[in-house]
Amino acid sequence: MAEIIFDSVGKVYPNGQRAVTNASFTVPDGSFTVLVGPSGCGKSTLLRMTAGLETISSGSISIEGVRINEVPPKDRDIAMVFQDYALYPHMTVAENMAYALRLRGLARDEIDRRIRNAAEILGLTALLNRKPAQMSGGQRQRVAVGRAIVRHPKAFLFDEPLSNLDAKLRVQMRSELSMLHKRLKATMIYVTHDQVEAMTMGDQIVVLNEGRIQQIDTPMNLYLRPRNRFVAGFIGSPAMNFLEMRLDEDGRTALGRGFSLGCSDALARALARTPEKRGIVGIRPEDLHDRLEWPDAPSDRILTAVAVNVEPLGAEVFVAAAVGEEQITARFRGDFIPETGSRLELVPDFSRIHVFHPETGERIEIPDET
Amino acid sequence: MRTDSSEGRRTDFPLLYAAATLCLIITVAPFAWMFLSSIKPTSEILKMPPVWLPSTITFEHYRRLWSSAFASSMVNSAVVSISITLTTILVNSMAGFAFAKYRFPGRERLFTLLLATMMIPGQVTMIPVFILLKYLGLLNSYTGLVLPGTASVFAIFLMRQFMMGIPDSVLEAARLDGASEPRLFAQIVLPLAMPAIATLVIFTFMASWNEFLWALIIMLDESKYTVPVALAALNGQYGTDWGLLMAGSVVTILPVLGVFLLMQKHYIRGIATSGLKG
Repeated sequence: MAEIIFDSVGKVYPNGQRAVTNASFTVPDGSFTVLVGPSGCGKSTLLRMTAGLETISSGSISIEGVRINEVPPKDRDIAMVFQDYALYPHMTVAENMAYALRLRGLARDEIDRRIRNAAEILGLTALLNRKPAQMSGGQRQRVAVGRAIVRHPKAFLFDEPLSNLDAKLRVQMRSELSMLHKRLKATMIYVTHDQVEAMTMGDQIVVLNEGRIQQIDTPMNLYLRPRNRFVAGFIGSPAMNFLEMRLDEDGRTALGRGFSLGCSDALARALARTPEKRGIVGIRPEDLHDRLEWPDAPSDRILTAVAVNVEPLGAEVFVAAAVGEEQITARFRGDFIPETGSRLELVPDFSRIHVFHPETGERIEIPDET
Repeated sequence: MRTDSSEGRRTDFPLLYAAATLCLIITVAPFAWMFLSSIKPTSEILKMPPVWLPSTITFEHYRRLWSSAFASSMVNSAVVSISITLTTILVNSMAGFAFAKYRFPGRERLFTLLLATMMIPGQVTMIPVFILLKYLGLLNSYTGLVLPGTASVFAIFLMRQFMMGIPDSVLEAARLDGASEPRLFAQIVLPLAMPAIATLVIFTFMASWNEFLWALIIMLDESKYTVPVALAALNGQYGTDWGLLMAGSVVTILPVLGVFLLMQKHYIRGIATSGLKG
């Protein structure tokens, strides 16, 4: 088990494409760190550099304090689970798992013991003599994980391991991988583009965009205090609503495109700090409430909207609504299903509102209401 | 109710089946004639009008063949063809793997250049290669027969195309599992390339077994003749022993047939069921 340190890591491909720029972070020993971001953000490149499958253009990666930039993949003692599982098609499950151990010259009975152990953890005992082609996607995924755990490596790397599975199986494997992490207490780095996977599995999440780290934090901090507009929009589903607003001269009202909203003192002060008192106000769909729920809301702190599209999911309802010229999404409890075209009165929870710089997208801290 | 049974299909296209049957007869007839002639008494082989079935079956021609120099040419051919096949597989699968899976500067250009050499007919290079082998002292030797055919652009192309289909992630997984490049090649790549290898074994073995011109040019001693050369030698200047020639032809075909039957399982199965895709 090991701590992995990324120090100003950069990657430029031979064709000049810059995949990762100046990435510095630490994966603590035994942690489950998730690298998340949209496709092409450099998350897989970072993982592959850790494994040794890509060269490191600048900076360094060290495991247990030892710089590994020049160490070939086979000597890094790292196991990786690939998106397409990458099982050896001509070998049985047992042979797939035994391969790395045989190459290390482990004794026959030790290899058997480790395979039996891993097969038991992953429920593969009955499948040990099957070939990959005779198994389902979920079973192959387990074999790929099994092949990693029999090695007792310093760290596990996962490259979007669940993206080829169907939705139901993905949820199941997600919790199984989390439980596996708790059981093994191993250092794991997990790459995904799915923010739900990131939020539910990670101890620490590294959000990447266009090769740059946007924020490194715990799941709840990412959700509650996103450092910039990108993170705010990426984490959370449905995504946060962004409204471009300007503080009116009275200092108490924010003007949007075709609507206005009475500000809390804190929001007014935050907007006052932006250039020309103009900022991007972020409100998560779940922080918009129907006025019936919050009857005490002052009448000027209400967004009047028209429901454009209603998506009841059973336990909850997503409502797309037009506010002035903007469209926003609200999330209600499942028992409140407004009709399409009906008028809604939405009350934002001002204690959970976010403000971002209109140009840089950086978070503008909202001072506590006093 | 109309069913799409195989019976229905057969009656649907009587002409097609008649044509196919005719083609089959045209293809098989010469082989049948060859085989039947090899077990006919000499007097019946050239009888007019021709007789298909021998009045008495005789293995006389085979007996004479076995006691002639032809028997040792079978051994020569076996040694040569097996050597060529093995070295071809080894050398070209390695080259194909490099072209398919290693990134190096000029890779595409080099490959195009190799492909371009396929346009040069073998006859053009035959004399230069002959002179080269003379300087190397390899004339009249098995090495001289095997060596020039070892690197084959067609074989490299075939292996490269197939190996491009092996997912990179499988190779990367093996590297992370601790496999060195030679081990990776031997234990992961070669087994996965079996369908391509089987195809190449069939083609190479057939081509080297039937190779006539080069074998004729380079081998000077009669004791070192390969089967096609020995077979041609049976065709005498003043007269031909047809029985012997037919028996020799039958024996010549057998190893090729054997190799095909041995390899066809992999050859036909191909990549379809190799289970690479998730």
